[in-house]
Amino acid sequence: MINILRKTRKSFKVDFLALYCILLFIFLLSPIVIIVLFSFNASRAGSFPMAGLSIKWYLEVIKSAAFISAVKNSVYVAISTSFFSVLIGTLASFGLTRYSFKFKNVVKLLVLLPITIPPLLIGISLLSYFNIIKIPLSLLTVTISHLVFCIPFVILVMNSRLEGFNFSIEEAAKDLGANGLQTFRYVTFPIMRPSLIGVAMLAFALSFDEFLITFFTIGTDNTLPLVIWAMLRRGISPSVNAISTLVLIVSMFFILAANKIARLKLL
Amino acid sequence: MRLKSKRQHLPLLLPLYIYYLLFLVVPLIALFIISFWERTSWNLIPAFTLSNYLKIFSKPVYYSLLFRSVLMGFIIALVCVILSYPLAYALTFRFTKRQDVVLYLILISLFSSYLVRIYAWKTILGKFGLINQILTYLYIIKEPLEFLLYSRTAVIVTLIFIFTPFTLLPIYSSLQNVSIDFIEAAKDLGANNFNTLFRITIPLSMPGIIAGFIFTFLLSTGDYVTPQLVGGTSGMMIGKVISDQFGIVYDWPFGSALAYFMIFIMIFVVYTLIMILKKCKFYR
Repeated sequence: MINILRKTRKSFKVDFLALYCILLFIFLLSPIVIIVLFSFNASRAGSFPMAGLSIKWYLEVIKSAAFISAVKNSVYVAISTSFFSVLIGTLASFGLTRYSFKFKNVVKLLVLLPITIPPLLIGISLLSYFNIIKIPLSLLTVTISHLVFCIPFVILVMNSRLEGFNFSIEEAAKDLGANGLQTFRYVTFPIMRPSLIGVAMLAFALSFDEFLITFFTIGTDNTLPLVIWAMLRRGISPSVNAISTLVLIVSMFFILAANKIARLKLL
Repeated sequence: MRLKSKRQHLPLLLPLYIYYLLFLVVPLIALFIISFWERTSWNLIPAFTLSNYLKIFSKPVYYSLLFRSVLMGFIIALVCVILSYPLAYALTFRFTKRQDVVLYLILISLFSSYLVRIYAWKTILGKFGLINQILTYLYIIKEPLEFLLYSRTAVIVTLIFIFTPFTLLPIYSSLQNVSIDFIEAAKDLGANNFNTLFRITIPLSMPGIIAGFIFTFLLSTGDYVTPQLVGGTSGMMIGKVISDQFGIVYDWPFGSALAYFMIFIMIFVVYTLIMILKKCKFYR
């Protein structure tokens, strides 16, 4: 009897750590959930309980010309950023993981440094720089500025992938008579492919969402975050919730898909 | 693993070096040079003057705001570390079964749009926001509380919300290096939970804690959007002033000087912190 009592008491013991984690997740996720909920709110005022469900804010958003052109611009920038960051970052990661050279560990840390530089500083320095060398601000300058912070993320993920890469497979291919190109085409690349796709999606998502640097390097065009920003400045219109939800869905899709495909070792 | 040497790594790294040189190093140097320039109402004049830096100390608005922002960044980083450590710990040693789900949740909060997350707090804290509505609904208050939004606390809460998942990453990855054997050994030798945590686990994961702290400190001190959206006048931060110099105020030299002075202070704080931790043998 006492034994049973003790057992039940044990199972009722509050697991503080688990409880804490749940509370923390409520803190971290509920604001996002609220935005998504409000985007379906029928009434103008964001009040609970909601007046009813409606998709009119989405319709309003999709019809607006500013939104369409911003989506085009954002996708254009995100695709170019994704392509070039994967190209430059992967090459660098190969260099960093396959060869040993002087100061390698220092270089490895230095190439990741842009992640810790406040975006404000990157933004204003690029703005001044483009102004001095007289490059007009456009989507090109936006892409250039996005590459600065996307490349380190690509290197970060690729490094952890390539460090676990089994070189003996390549050597086996070479022993069996494959030349360098063939080894890459038929052995290295297929193994790397999921990581490349994953990291490209990560870069896409990072660029698609970027606001802090873009704000300074964009000129007269608009990307999606800039449209959201303009709406926030003008005052709260419920269609902000709808745009926000759409942006959330896109970046979530890319991040989760990237993680599924490549098991991003960001964590 | 056998690593080839020679200079074969250079062609692979060259695109990166060139890119960083052209679009990171040179722009940062350019910004530094501009901080010594002069400006008229229409354009910038190359010169060498310290007046931009002296201007920071001319009005208490600037330097007190700067120090206040650094202090806020420090508090935010500290709270983020304290909040995310237990989660990182649980993720490493406890939720090994549900790790995937938890990691997805962290990824969602980490990568959901930055602007949207700030805006979300605006809807929560606002005059007709969620907290006021709930409190009025429960008859706890009659009039909506107006101090929730547009205050320093609102900025701090929002930035903590934004950077907690970010702080978690390095802490989590450094906890991966703490072997469960060490913890069990400590317990076998008679250490209680408290001692094990403070003398084994935390010191071993110190590099991650420090990295997380530094990340968050640097990024939150330099934030300029959150103070604008939820800060009002009392929640103003230096980043907003700097960004204004490159927008409506159009005083690039002063903006650059402020930015570099901010960076200088932040590096000084980080350096001092690491020195203190080394002195206390918390970190080697």
